[in-house]
Amino acid sequence: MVTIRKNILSDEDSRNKYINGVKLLKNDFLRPDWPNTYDIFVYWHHRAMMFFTPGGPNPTPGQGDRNAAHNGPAFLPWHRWMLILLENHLQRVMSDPNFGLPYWDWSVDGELPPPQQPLAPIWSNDYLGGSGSPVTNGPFNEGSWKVNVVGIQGGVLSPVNRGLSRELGVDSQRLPTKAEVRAAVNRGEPNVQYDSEPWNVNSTGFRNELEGWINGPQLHNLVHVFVGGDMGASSSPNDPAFYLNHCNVDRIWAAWQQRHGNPPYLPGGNTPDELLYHRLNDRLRPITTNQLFDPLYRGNVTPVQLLDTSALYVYETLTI
Amino acid sequence: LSEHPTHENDNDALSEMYMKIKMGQPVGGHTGEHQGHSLESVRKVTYKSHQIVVKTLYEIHVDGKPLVEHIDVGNNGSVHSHTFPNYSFPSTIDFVKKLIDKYPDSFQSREHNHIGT
Repeated sequence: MVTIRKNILSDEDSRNKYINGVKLLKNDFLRPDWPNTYDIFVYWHHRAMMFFTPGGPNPTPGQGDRNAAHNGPAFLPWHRWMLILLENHLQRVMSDPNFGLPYWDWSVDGELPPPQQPLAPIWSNDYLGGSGSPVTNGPFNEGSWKVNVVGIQGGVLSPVNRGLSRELGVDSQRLPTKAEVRAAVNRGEPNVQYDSEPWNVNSTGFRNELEGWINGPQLHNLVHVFVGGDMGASSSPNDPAFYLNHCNVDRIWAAWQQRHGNPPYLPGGNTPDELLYHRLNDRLRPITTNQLFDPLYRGNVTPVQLLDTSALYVYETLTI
Repeated sequence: LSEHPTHENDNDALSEMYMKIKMGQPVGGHTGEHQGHSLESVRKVTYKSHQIVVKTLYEIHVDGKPLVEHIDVGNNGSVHSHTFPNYSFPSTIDFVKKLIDKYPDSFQSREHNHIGT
């Protein structure tokens, strides 16, 4: 069934279901030897981030080199897969196959004067709540939402038992603007390019600009930095704001694909093994191949399979 | 499908991670090709057919104690670390300041140890 992904700020039903659904996933256990389903996504994101993928016979990686889900071409398809699975589990726990993951168009808030951005409607009691360590208002206040694991120094995932942390507007006073999003989507016209050598944070191309490393932090990265707190760590899916950000990132990718007639994903299949996990036909990095968690792909999915997702979902609008 | 030659059993990995976390133990650290490499950042650029390679080795001390953190320098000189995966720092000093701000307890014990030695 094709679902429609809508703007969380203009669709009350999507908002209510998203908030309800993620809370249900926090109490959903697929297996007794697994964490709750919501937290599996936190483990997965952290673990993919700490799995470095420069490959090659004499790898000399650094922190700016690719990991299995970031700093390289797979950033967009890997997170698209993650969103599809989260949406699938939300549909399951709410018994609602029509549910579509909402997105937060942060560029609208980016048009506000910086002092007003942490006070935008998305951070009100009716949506995500606001700043705090722990957050004390809204649906994810300390009594309603627990953080169980956090990524800390040295690539370690550490157990905790605390409320959610946010520091809106502290590490960055502003969100990306509409002009910045449009510039990324239109950059290089008419010969736009998805990605380029050296396929990392130093690349030119759409992926690296949307991920936010060019003159960074920008776009996707800037949203993480603006929200701060738990959104600033490798365990950033702890904050439900994570998925609203990434759903918008995915929407911008879809807008770029549509505007330019589906430019090719790069790198293609006939490229060196040092690009493993990032090439068109490479298997993306799973957390498990068990169909309980991944009934759609069983942990076996490639970027080429994720370039056209119109059989699964569409966005209410691709206008940026 | 292409597959990593050392790809592990992910089902077992998820269970193992969870069981350790449940026991109150931290898990992980860097894996894959990154595991065990030195605190070195390498930049490679081809310019007018010349290959430029810049290797940077890090040795950081705070309160006299070594700080082990993997750091990378981008081609524009910005500093990245997966401890703060979405951030770009203008310098390593700024990165360490952020570490101290974010993890004050780690540096508190470090300071006490230093004073006591």
